Amino acid sequence: MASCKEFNELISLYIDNELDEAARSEFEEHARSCDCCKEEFDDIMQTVNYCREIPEEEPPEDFKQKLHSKLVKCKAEEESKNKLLTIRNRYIKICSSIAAGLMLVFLLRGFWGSNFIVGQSGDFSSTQSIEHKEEPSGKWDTKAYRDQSVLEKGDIMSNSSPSDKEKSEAAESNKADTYSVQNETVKNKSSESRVVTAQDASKGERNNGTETVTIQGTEEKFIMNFSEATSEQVNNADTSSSVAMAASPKLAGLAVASVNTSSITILSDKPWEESDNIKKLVGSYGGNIDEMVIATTFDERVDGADTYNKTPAEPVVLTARIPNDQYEKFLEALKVSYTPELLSVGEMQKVDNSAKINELTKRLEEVNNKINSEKNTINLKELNELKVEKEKITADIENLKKVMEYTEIQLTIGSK
Amino acid sequence: MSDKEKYLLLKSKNGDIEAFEELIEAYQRKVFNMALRMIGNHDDASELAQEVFIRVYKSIKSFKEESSFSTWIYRITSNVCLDELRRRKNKKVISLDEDIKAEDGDIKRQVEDDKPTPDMVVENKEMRKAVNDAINTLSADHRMVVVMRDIQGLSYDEIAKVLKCPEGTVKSRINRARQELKQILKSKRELFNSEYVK
Repeated sequence: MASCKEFNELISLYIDNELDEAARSEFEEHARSCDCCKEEFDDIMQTVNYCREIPEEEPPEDFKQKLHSKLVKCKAEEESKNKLLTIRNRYIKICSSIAAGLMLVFLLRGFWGSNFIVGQSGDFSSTQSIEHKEEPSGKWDTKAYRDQSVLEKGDIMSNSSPSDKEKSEAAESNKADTYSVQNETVKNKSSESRVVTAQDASKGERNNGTETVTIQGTEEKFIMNFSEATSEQVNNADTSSSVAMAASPKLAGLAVASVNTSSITILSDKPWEESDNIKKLVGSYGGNIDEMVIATTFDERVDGADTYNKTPAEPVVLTARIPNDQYEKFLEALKVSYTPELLSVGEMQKVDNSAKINELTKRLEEVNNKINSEKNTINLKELNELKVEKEKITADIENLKKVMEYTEIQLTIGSK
Repeated sequence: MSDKEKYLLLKSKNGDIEAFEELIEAYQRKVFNMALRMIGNHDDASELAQEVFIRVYKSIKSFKEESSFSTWIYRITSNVCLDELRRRKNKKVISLDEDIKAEDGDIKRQVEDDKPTPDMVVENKEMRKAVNDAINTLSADHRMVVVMRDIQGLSYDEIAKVLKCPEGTVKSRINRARQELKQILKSKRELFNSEYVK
């Protein structure tokens, strides 16, 4: 045995007969040669013996009787709770089938509705975006550089950006209209080019396809965040078919499981100053600005240096959020302020949140079940962890639902 | 698990109270004694043991026969006891040795002395009381392993399963707990001897 410390660590294993033959004899050898360790061993052995001598005691006489009445009470409570649950489940089933039916009707109407919007929009250009970004992290987020490549205008029809694939599913029904608008873009604005935000596959970003008009040249973007939470919520939205959502009775309670997004482009002599007016206008319709991107033109970029040349004519991109019921009024106000040559309104897109909400709801159900089934067997710390997760999921769902009440607008203010 | 126990378990899962009571009959003493050693007094131990069985009854539907029924019951018992100890830790506990503060000076607490008089009994009971007191001063984790190993006689493997931790952790925890207990008893004995000499 190397040391007394080692001997000390083995005392309990020796007492409990957990040592193999060799270790045992080595242990005994050390005890014979070291009085200090022998004393330590004797003391612990004696302590263990004292504990072993503690006799088992009988539970009090009324133990069984008390327990029995508690069990009877507990059973009665469980039964009444189960009855209530059965009634509630039946009620939910009936309500959800009614809601599913109603939603199907709304959806069918919605398709005609969106055709109407497309018909009105796009005098000379079309912009559309479905974005999924990483969580914004700071005021001036230099990490948010995105590689951008400039494509010629002819690419609009032939090239499909990564997001187009996903968009096509959601916007299948108005595909024809989308293309007609894009055709107009080509015809009317010969000087325009289309900037596609390249997808950084290694970072795992998705849906990063953004089409904007009026921005020329190779550019870098600085993203200024006004509201971190809300932009994240919208961007968390998963795209999937909105028809599938109607078929899912679980989601029937959610009248709108999608976020409306649209794109508006305004041309101005001084985009930077114009953006102040737009911000005021958005504010007056109960909306707010989540994010502002100033696209700056780089003269020369050396080894990732952050130097940039801010020119007065640089375009400004705002992400605004306006309550759904105020959106049409906001559009009217814009049309009053800007002539059709300066203003273009893109089609309305719906980013489906149903998959995300469905996933969260499922997880919430799992956590709830776990809390209910294991609350008696786990300790308070574990139970608290489950409760915290439950609160978080509930908050996430609430946030997602709240986001749906707003229309997200990508406002690009470009120079004439 | 015997066939009879399996049958009783099945019936208990359907809410049959009589079957449940028969099923837990064998565990009542064990659970009560574990609670008694963890908490230190009969009344509270009785309440806690009942709480354990109510929890077992409520969650018996979720009991999967992957672990043994006794391990599962011990796990619930240990969790109930640890929760109670944690709850008590947050409460103020009045020490019987502490003087009561009164306007006209401190008053000595008068506590009924339950020490028996015959010498032999006194020695035995004193020692047992000293051990019990020493166990009660251990931290909750150390107390738990000492109670399970040295009083209830559970194996290292069983304790590891009850506490859901590696056997290595159990081994070192038991060793540390015993050393701590030994130290407490030793200093008590020294105190007792020095008072006796006076």
